[in-house]
Amino acid sequence: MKRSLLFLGFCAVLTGCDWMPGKPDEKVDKWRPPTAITDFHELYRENCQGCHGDGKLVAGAISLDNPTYLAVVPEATLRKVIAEGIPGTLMPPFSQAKGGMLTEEQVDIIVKGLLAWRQPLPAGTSLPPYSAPPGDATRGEALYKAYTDAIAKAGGEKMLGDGFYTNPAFLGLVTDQYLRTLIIAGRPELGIPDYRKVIPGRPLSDEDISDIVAWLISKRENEFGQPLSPDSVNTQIP
Amino acid sequence: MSEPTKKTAKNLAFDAAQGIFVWLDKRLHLTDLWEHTAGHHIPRSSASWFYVFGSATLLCLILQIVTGSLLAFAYVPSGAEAYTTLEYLTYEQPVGWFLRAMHYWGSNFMVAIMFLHMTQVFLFGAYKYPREITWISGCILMVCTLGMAFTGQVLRFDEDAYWGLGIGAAIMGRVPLIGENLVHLMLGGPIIASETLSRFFSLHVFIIPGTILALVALHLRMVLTKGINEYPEPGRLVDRNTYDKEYEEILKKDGMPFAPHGIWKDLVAAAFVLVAILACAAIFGPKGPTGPPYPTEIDTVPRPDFFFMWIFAVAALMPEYMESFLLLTGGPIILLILFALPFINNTGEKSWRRRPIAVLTVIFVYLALGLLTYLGFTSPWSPEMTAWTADPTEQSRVLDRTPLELQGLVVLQNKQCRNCHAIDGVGGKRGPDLADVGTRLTKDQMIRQVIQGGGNMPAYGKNLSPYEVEALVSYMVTLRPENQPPARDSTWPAIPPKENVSTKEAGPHAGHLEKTADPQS
Ligand code: HEC
Repeated sequence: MKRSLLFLGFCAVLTGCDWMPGKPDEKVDKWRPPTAITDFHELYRENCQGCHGDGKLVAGAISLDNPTYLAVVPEATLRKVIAEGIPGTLMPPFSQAKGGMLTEEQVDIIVKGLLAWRQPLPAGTSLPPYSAPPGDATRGEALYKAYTDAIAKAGGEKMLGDGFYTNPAFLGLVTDQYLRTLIIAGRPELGIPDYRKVIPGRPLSDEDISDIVAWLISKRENEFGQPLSPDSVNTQIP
Repeated sequence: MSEPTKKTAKNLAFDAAQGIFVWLDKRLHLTDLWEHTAGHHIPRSSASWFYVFGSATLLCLILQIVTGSLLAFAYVPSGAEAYTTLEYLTYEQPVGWFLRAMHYWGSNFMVAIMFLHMTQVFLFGAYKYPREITWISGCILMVCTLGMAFTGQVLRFDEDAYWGLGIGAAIMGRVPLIGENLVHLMLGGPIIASETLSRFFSLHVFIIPGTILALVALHLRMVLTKGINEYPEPGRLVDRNTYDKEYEEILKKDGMPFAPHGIWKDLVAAAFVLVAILACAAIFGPKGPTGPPYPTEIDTVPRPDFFFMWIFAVAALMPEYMESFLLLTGGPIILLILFALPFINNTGEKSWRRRPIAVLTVIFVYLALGLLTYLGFTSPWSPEMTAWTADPTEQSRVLDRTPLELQGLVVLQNKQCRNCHAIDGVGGKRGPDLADVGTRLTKDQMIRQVIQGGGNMPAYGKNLSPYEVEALVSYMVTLRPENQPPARDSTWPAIPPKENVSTKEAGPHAGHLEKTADPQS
């Protein structure tokens, strides 16, 4: 008994006590400056997940793993939006040059990581362009009606309250491009379909999308309820 | 023939050994020393398991000296290198992490056991006549030990150390008239720098340990000369005129040498403490180093080691108007009470069975310290700095929301509400969880709270556009358990008039409320 205990103690010393649970693990416990993080998932989790969600954890802004979104968004747009934010909206800038906390390298890692989430879409899918100027609002009105009807039919009535996308406060907080992005990519995780599934039988065309966006823009108001002319708001496309 | 020769050889060796010992003893007075220390007589009753805490504290001190000396071989007390040597010790030096862990856990145990020792001495009335100096030297030892704990925490020179020092300096700075000079004295300059570290290093390895050793010598000498307190019996009162005689009597009638009759319990306790420290070191490891001590690094949650946690909690909880007063006078008042204790309460009953106030005091102090320490550990004093970009939301809090409400959730993230407010437990804990805020506040109350702040929450009026407020509030109204109605303004009828079931139309404020009524109805 005594001998085996002695032997155990001897082994403990020989191995430098390294097997003990209390030994700090350099990889896990050692402090690193936040700028040294190069793992995409960690960067995404720390910087984006709160607003854009991840998997089961969804959030207020569009999910960045949305396959339709990833298929249409240009890489340069992603980089610019992440680095500089979208001025006038709730999307903050992340590059240190713009007051954020990330290095250029980290922004690149996020862009690469997001693009790696891309999935092939069904063969023969014709993609609308990511950005385009607003179209014909009058045509858009009817299309938008069909759009909201489709959502209601799919059981999404609760989402349609407050005027849905035409709510003036909502419209006052988002860019035209974001409206277009939402119509194209939808938010399938919440039950809002992408442009292919809105109207039974056919996907929305590029023109349809621009028209709906034009209709939404025409519903913008200032906070006193007066309509705004389209060019007095932030219509810049990132 | 061979028998006697063998005997002589044995005898010779024995004689030689005895000769050497006698020679040494004549010069070193070893027998005398033994008789007056380990061999000194103690009352049989004091060979009790309750009397082991003092020696256990001493064991911790010895352990701290050994591990501390070894750590000092590698540690460089300079602002530029301290942090690096700590990382070296923790991650590269073989067994370095274990040494650090032993020193860290040794200090935790030392503080804890020291307080147990004090408690026992207090409850057993051992501070009474004629052991006042023993008690007072013990109190100074306590201050020194806490001083070691604080200075040791500074030597870690990581962000915890940095902010700990900052808080210490801030308290010093509140001293009237000489505050600034005190801060200068403490930090070795106006700011926390390399000079600060040199200062704390010399305190931690020379000045305070030297003082402790001298005081321990005094403390032990008092224990030996004034004798260990006999196990108190209810009803046996201390009287200054008769006590010394009585104690002598006890020793004569029922005394026995400390070694081996009393010491074995101390040794068993020592072994127990040693194993406990080794086990904690092996299982939990050392503390930190956390991030480096950069003043610009504010994304930290600095927390003191456990023995200062209660001070941390007090400082965070007390109302602002009494901060300076309490921080500056609290410590001196506690010390004054401790020092004065043997004079206020010098004679009389020793047994805790007949001293209900003493027992209540101990219970109260332990409960208070325990509760404050618990609060210190669990309470989220600091916001969670990355919650606003990192913390996601349960799907059930996002599904079935209108775009405006969802945009409100983004406002809640973007304005960093989440750093202080959790939703379903995810997020900062500085303010209340928002998961059921919709049942607690009406839309109007939320608007007021967000814009004007209040109850420790800053006002956000200037940082929110009207649309942002509208989106934010319409989201927050939806934060409530399923099937539970939103909070209702008390001026609305609880049951809407029959002909007009919608709350929107109800009541005299109908027009005004239309926009702010339940958005989900
Ligand atoms: C505080 C909330 C918030 C955080 C954090 C955030 N975003 Fe955003 N993001 C938004 C909002 C709101 C929008 C929509 C802005 C608009 O109206 O155009 C947006 C838009 C975007 C867009 C453009 C969508 C489009 O229309 O094409 C991209 C790309 C994006 N975010 C990526 C990221 C990445 C990557 C991160 C992490 C590094 C991140 N966001 C962190 C709120 C956030």
